[in-house]
Amino acid sequence: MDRAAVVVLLASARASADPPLAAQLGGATGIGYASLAGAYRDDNFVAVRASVGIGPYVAADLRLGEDLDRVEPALGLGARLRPWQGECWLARFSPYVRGEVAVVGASHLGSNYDLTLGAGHWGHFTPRVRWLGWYAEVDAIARVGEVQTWSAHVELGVTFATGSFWR
Amino acid sequence: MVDAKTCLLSVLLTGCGPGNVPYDYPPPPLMDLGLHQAPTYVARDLMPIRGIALVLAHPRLGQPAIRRAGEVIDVEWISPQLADQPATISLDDGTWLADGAGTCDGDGICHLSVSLPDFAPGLYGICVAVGGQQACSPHAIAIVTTYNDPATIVHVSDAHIGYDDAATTFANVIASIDAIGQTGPTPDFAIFTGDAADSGLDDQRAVFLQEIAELNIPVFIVTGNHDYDATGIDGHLLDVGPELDMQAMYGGLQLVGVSSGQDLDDGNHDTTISESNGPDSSELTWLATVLTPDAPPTIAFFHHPIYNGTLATIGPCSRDALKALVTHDNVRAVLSGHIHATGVFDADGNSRGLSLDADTVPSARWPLHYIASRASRAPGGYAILHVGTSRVDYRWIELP
Repeated sequence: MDRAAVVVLLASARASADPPLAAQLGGATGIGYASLAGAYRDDNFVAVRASVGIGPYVAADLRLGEDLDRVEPALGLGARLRPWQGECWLARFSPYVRGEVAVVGASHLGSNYDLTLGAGHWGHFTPRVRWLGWYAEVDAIARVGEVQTWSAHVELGVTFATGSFWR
Repeated sequence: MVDAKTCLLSVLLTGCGPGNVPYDYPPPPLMDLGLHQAPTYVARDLMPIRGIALVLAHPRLGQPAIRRAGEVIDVEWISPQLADQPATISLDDGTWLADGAGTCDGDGICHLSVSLPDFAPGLYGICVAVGGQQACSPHAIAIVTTYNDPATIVHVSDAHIGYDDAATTFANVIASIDAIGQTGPTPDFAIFTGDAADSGLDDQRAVFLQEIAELNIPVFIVTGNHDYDATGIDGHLLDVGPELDMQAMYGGLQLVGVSSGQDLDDGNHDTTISESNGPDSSELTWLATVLTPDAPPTIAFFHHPIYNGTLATIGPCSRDALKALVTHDNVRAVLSGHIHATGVFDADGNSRGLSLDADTVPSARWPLHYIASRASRAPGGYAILHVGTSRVDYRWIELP
């Protein structure tokens, strides 16, 4: 019992000292389609994502997004899954897939949701600086609710992570 | 489904109507009648209390009649105590137009059809005289030589006179609109989509009307939520006009304006996130008679938008119904304000592919939902739209 308590305390201390957290700041744009509008170039977006690593393969994301061309805030919850660790690829790189559900203020707050499936690549600029990285994603987004659209986005950005995130 | 949930929540919280009425809602007698019956409220309640014998209801400065010479206008006046007496209709310079008792209802709301003589194109004031009383309005009639298709329309919203230096900025906006004709064709008419007086006060409304009277084009005016503040709606009914809703024709183009009411009460006499408490059932019933599938090409206008990224829209108890009413092939544009930012949406509420600055809207996306930004935010601004049988476009003009 005492040994178990010590293990838990050590784990907690270790977790608090180096929690697996990451933040991402990126910009996105793409193309879209809607029944009345047809195909169109989509707006430009900026997004901030706060992430908690869950083991070496999964991250849970909270994402705040905003359309740069008009008022259209979005709040999303999602997850990223990387199928293998960096050693199988290159130490600095890691591909991942992601999914997200977001409530988006498109035509009326609470009346539209974005369902996103995407694939991305995440890595460090240099192996010596592990807190700073970059990411690139391609996302397919279905907007459901009052407004129904399909869109494909490319998102690029920088990422800041603790040493234990996705290690 | 989401709207139904939102509406249900609002019904539970607020009742969405009478029975939970803060002081700046429409007066209870008007709410009981329904906002569309505002002239009846004016006749039965407001005029006796204020000791007013005669009110010119239509045409007026904010609800003009645009006609070619020789065409007919409907003149409407309210005279509960003088309903059996003949009226004389004239221009405000004394030029006689017509005499007659008109057709009056039991509340003394009277109508008389008047054929317009061969006046030169321009704006004219009109007066009605009954039983020694006279009521006049400037810029009530616009004589045109032709009806342009598409019509060139100036969309102005949210003057908020009384807030900071809004009056100065709004004066600059009016001057800029008046100057359009110096460099190109003069617009055919203007539409103001509410919030004239920031606090609903008489002196604020007077400044607004003074500026509006400077316009060299006819203008249609509907209320915003601020016009109801501090019981300001009574002043609006007397100073701007006793009809909160209007249907007018510009040649083959139908114009339909409604008051979207005050901010929705949250149940504690506080407002919600700028959603409206209207249009009420009386207005929706009337709208169903003018926004029919076989109606001519139509522009609908009101203060609160149907589409917006946040909740600052038409109230949850009216939104679905109003959206269905304006989503017809013959409705070309839906104009609104309220959110103090430009917004552009198509019939489905999709904003993509439509610039906020200027664009032409393909017919498949009609009606255009255009939300004009606040006119009186320095340096000031307004929109110019071309709306007609086969064209809808828009452009936001920011003052230098």
